Amino acid sequence: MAVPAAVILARVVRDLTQEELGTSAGISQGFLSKVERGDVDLDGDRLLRVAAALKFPVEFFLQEPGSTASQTACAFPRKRNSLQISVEKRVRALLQITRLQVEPLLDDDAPPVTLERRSAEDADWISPVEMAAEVRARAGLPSGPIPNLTQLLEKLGVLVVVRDLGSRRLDALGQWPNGHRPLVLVNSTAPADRRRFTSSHELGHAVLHTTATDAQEREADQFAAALLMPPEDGRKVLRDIDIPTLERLKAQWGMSMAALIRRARDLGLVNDYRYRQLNIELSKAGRSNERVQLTPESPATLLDALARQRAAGSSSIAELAARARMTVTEFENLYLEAAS
Amino acid sequence: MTTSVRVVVDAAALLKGRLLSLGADDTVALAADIDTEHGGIVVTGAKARATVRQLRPVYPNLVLIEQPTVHEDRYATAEQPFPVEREQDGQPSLFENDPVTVESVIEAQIANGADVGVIPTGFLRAGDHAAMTAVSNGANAIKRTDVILHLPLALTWVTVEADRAKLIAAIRRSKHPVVISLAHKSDPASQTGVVDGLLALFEAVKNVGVWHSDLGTLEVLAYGGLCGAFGIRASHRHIVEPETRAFSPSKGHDKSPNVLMGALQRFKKSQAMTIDWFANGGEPSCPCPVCGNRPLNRFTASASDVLEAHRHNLHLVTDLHRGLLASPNRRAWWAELLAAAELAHMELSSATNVKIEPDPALRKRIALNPLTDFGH
Repeated sequence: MAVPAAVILARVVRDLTQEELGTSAGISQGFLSKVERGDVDLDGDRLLRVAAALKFPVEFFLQEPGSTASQTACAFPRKRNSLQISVEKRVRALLQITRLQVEPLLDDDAPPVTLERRSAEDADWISPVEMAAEVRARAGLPSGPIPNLTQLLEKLGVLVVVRDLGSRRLDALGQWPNGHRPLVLVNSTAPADRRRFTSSHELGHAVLHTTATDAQEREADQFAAALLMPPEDGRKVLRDIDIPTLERLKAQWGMSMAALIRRARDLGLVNDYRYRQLNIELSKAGRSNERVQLTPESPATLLDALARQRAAGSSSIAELAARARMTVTEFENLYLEAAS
Repeated sequence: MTTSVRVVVDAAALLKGRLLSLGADDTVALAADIDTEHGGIVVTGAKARATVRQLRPVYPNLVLIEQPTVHEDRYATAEQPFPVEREQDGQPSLFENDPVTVESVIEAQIANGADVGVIPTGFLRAGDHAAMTAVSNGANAIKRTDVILHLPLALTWVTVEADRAKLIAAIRRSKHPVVISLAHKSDPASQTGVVDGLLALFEAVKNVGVWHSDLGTLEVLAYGGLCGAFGIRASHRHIVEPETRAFSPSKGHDKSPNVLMGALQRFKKSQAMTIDWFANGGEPSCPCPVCGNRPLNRFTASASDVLEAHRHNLHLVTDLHRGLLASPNRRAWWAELLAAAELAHMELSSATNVKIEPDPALRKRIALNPLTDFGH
């Protein structure tokens, strides 16, 4: 008997309406609606057809999709306001399914979670800037640029998964339910510098926020800026900046030129007039297509875990796919082809 | 033999609603004009201690405060928020056997004649939240009540949201009354985002005063804040970040004093007034007791004229302060004052045929304090 929540999750992540799924599985929309409400059971041949239409193994539908904690914990999207609600809903479902898939695939050698959240009583006092310094200290990171931000997140126990999220209006989505790892789902279509800032931003949510607040996006941005370039570093490198200097700094610090200009303003190193002037110069040079391009970073924790298990002969591809509640084909496409 | 017992002062109660005058040894000549009930003097500069010592016996009932100058050349850091140890060229001085602590600095200020002590905070750099945390923790560890926490700030602490949030949090958790001073090479309030940021700050916290300012001192009081300290000279209406030079006028510049023009709520150098606005006459006279209906552009650069201009400024500010204190609705009073200043600019422009516009800070204040908020 299928769990209604699993049916809904799978349908939403495949971006299908009840009508579309019904047509594809040869079931009426009305019946599917009753299934999702839990009014009727989905089993036998109809379950097989729904599973095939959604490209999930039948086993996926037989269990609750994740713990209550992972379903109810606040997820923080970094998005534009113009993002369609349906897209956001689909990506939230993708986040939940990704956690279901990835967590069971990790072995004991995966880095443990060493991050700590800001406590509720510190929320009004310990600032995002100080939390960024705390995270750097925890990771043993000296001052200076972070050569590989994804590696830093993974070292702290964060799961980073890069996927095409199907919209340029959404950069990433992150969530850290109690008893689980923080998970950041990053849009592969975003430029490398933006991906770094976005991942830092999501790390900020992980350590700063457990519930939604009015200031959450601003605070996550403040955290990201301070993590990527601590104030004392900014004061050293952002004095007297011009476009050629910014291009050099972008390559060195892995931050977009626009983010560097903003950082200089926030550290009081350029006045408002110069800030506007630099942004105009940047626009003329092509803000959305900055000349210096960075190499995108790739996560390694999951791939390393899979490689270890396959090298040890402890798990076949079919066993790994079953553990992830995925079809072998999709498992290979998403997690093995990416490795090769 | 008699023993004097000093009554322990509650700094917050002493400062509440007060408009202080802030200067160096030039405060001595102005002390007689200070309103002892609602005013007082903050003495700063290298000779501050000697000046307080000189003033105290002559004016036993005048509120006197010595402001430490450590922020002029030292930064507050996470390790050393109150950099008061004596150093010469980075080495401990010959006085190393006589350790200087924050407590001893405060004790010395009070023993010298100050009514309350001012914590000698180093300059707080933009974005240095760790230093702000250290300042807050260090200040809260001081258990006495006759102490003011002075925060010498880079502008970002009011203009940048991240810094302002931290500042607000620091003021909220402070066990002592807090006063802030803003740093810029010239007028901080004329810089983008400063007036907006200050108003957001004043809306959020009331346990705060503004020192080293001009009309900002009245503004903080209008918004229910603690106190203000009005700079007697232009150079005392802002502070300057260490390793930075204040804006210095070119050689041969106008050395006449900055004069507060009551109707306009702005300062203008006396000589510049004549050249820029009143070349064809039409200069306003001032009815204050110092001016006695003489024109405002009469002041020359002579020492006696400069002093007289400062006395004029002090009388005007004191009058405004009394008006504010008497008003049942201080925010409405402030909005009306600003609206009247805007109107006065228009009238003066019309009378002189010279376009005279409010300065950027006044313009911003007018925009952010609309009379319509008060049913006009």
